[in-house]
Amino acid sequence: MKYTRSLDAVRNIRRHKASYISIVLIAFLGVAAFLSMSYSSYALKKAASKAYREMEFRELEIVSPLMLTQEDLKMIRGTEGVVEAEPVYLSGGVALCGDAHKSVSVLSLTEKVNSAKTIRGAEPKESNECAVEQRLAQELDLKVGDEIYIVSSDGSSPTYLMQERFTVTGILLHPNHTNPTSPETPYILVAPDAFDHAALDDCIMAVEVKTAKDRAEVEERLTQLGRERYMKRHAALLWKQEEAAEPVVRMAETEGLLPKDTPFYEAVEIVRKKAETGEIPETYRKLVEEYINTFDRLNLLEKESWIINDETANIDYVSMKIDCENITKLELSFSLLFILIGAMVIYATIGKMIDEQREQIGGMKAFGMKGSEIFSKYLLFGVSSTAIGMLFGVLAARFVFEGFVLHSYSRYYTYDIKHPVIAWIPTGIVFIIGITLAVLAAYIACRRLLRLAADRLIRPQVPQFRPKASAGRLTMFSLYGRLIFRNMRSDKKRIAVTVAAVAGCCALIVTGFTLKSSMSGSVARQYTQIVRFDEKIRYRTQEAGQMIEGILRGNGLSYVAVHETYIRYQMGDATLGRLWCGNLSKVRDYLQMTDWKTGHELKTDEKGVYIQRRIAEIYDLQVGDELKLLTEDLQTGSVRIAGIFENYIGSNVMMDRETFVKQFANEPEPNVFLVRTGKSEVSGLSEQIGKVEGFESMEAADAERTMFESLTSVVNGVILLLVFLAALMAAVVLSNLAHMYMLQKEKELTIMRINGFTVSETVGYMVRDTIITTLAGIVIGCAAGSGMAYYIIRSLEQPFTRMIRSVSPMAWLIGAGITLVFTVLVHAVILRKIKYMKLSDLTAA
Amino acid sequence: MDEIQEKTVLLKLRGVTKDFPSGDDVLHVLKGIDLNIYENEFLVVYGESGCGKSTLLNIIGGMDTLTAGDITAFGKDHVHISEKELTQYRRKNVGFVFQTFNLLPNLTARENVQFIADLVEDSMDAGEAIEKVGLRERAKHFPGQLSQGQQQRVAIARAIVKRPKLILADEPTAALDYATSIEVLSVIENIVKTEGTTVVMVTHNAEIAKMADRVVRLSDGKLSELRSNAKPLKAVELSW
Repeated sequence: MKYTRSLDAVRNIRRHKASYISIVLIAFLGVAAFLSMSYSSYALKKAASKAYREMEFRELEIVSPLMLTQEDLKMIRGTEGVVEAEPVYLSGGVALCGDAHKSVSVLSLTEKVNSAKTIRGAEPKESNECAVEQRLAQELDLKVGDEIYIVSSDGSSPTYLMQERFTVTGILLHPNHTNPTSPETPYILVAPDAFDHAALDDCIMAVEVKTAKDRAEVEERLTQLGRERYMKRHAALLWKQEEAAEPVVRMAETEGLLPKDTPFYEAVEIVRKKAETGEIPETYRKLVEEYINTFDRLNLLEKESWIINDETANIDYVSMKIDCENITKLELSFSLLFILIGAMVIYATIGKMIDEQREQIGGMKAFGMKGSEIFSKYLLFGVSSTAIGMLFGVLAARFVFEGFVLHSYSRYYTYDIKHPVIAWIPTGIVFIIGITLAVLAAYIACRRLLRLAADRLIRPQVPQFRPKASAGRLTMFSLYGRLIFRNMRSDKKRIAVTVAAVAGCCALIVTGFTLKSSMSGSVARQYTQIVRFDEKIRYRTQEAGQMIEGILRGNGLSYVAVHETYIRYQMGDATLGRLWCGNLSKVRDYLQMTDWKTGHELKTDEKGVYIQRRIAEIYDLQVGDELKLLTEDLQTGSVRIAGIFENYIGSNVMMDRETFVKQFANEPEPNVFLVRTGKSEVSGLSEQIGKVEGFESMEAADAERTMFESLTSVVNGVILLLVFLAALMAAVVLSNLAHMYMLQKEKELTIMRINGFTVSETVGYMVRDTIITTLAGIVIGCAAGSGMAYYIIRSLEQPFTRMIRSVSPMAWLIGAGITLVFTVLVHAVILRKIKYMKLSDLTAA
Repeated sequence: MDEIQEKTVLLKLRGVTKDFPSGDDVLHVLKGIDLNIYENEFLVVYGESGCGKSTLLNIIGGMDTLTAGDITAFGKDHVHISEKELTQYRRKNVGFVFQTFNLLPNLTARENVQFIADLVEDSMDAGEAIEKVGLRERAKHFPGQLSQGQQQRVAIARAIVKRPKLILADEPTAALDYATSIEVLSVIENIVKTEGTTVVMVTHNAEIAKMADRVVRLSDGKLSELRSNAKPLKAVELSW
């Protein structure tokens, strides 16, 4: 570019600095909003990857309803593609420390897979030593050197552990629990020797596996192996049962209940029938019942196999994935709209600036300048402003907004995620798109003009509509009104861009507030309409249950008892759910079960399982379909869905007692009371119940609300950030469009003022156009915002959360209000110039 | 001072000075102009480029303020006057014709005239104004469809439709060729005759000055000459 042409190009930028700065700001906001989400998601994934890699997080976990043997372990290690396989011993229990107690899982330490990270002290070496998870240490105020007792839930000696008393040697983080607010029971880690291997018959509860690259193939091989090994184990255990049957059969023969030498299976059936008809003597009844139950369970487990879980069976891993996905979803919806609005306005601004210089371009053409020489000036304008804005956007995303987002999420991770990064691929893509857009905008506008002859460019433009055609339709309006319509018709691009920009900004604000309203509305509905109890009391033994029931009756409180257990849906993934089993006609007084289709109260007289709407949507289930479940003690069930009810928070499954017994061959002993305390004093009740032996916990019905609100507060925080940026974007875009329009009309307005139009008449002329475009933009923006909010809500929902999906009139009001206020403020500032216009400039021009 | 006239004085300018800031300096554009403008006269303000003609016109038209001096328009002091009163002055009393026409591109010729006619209650009919400038057949055409001479005639129609007492024309023929200029000047000449409107026209063309009733010559911001034409030429008699 020759020197004078460069000078002209630079001065053109100075002369149009308002438009230039607008483009810089719009590019900055659009890129900052988009890339801050992009970078945050990338940073989160990177930090998670690093943390899980350092802790050698297991890729596969193998469990079996019949436990795994040492031989199984050997064969797993020998499977092609298995790099490491470590055995894990596990037992449930209750940790006691002084007056404090907490349900825990006792886990054996591993070395090469799923290694715990010690943050204080050391790992346990002796069988009477243990290390505790950090969150457990905080809750029970445990320090290195403290002593704790671990007992079974019924207060007896711990199942499968050699002793009850342990010394805390360390405090650590475990890769299975990377969320400090994880709903799973915390771990106490012990040396493998702390477990009673004899009682375990030298069996293992689980094997943690790391694989080579072809993971899917390894998993397939292990699945095959699992089927074979499981069948063998089942057959071996059944054979053992025959041996264990001996005292039962001898007893039955002695009591004359069985002829001698009755074949084994026939003998079992005869004894079972005798037990049902009460013919077994009292002293032997327990022995027989235990044997029959074990036998039946073994039979039920015949068709099972090893259960091979990948990372998605780990709730905290899934939670991390969900966080990354949520940010990506916001990036690809909400933030993308920033880019679209910004792109459109930048395109319009560059095009408008070039259109305004049509006479100059005509003059340059007349002088013989080539198209490329004319184009280069506007290319510099467009590309430099866009590039500068994008650069600042990248810096703001990296150094300001990303930090904010990561800080919001950091309290949900035990590992450090606050390491902001730049993701180069999306940055590169955004830059390429931005520069391409700027080049295209300048090119298209220039090309359109350069195709015209020079003299046509110099002459005033002829509007493309015929006065006769329009006259008939618009005669109801004054000339003033007709002029405004014609102005709009002759500048359709500006009108379209203005309406779209106003709509886009309004849509961003409506989306943000709809999301906020949806999240808070879900909580409100859940805890005012659906959850009809105030406290949930959990206990371990039947005796404890009876005593607590007495206390509740004594206090005149209403309650219902249910059996509560946790299940996993086995429909392709391993989502966790909570099963309540009991008298459903009474339970629904405490948890409203409304048919999600009809809105009426669900009848619960049909046998089967009742699931909530969200689960039905995820797995595409209807009433009458089969739902596959896996219980905590690894029993699978396939149950008919009897009804689908509405629920917002939590993942609840309801089952009647008969269905439970049929499925799992077990009586669902109640272990939870759902209690209505109303306005009664809870602390007194808590104190009374806390003294009961076997009492486990008492928590408010909305305990999950805190967890949900914690989760949503992070998303809320991110949405607020985006709404703030949306408001800024709205201000800049509206200001830019108003300024461009003002420049375009400046001469016309000066003529009006010279001819005697007052300032208010001249302002009114400008404002009428704005009123129409703003109102149209607001209507479209509210509709588009609600649509986008619905899309985001559906993508943010999880198996355990459902949000309100309807439009939010309040969000419309706020979106419309903010857009109107900004429009009024922006135009008040810009149209003020009309009062101070130098009328003599027209004659000087 | 000019000769005492029997006609009514519309505007009186005494010691009118106009300065403009120019970096650190001050540019003295008008350096004490004394002038009366009379009813129903054709006054030409003539001078070279940069002598202050347009500045003087802007001050007369209420589009700019003076730095020093006095100006009385239609009996009212225009030095200490509010912006609103200036707007009303232009609305009711002044019509403008610009060098570059400045028509609204989205209005037809007639509509451009009507747009201004709607400002006052006793305006001329827009069609009548268009007819007076000889553009009846082109009334429904947009400015982009008219020749330059035609556009300037529309501008004149727009200027007269309010029945102003004063029309200010700032080099109305500067962008036109000879033939078209004569066309336009003929229209202006006719307006003065038939409507009784005072026309103050700025030009750098000395030939055009010959058709005026009086000629004010400006030189270096001062009134260097003020003369009356005993026999003003008709527009068609001009030649350059």
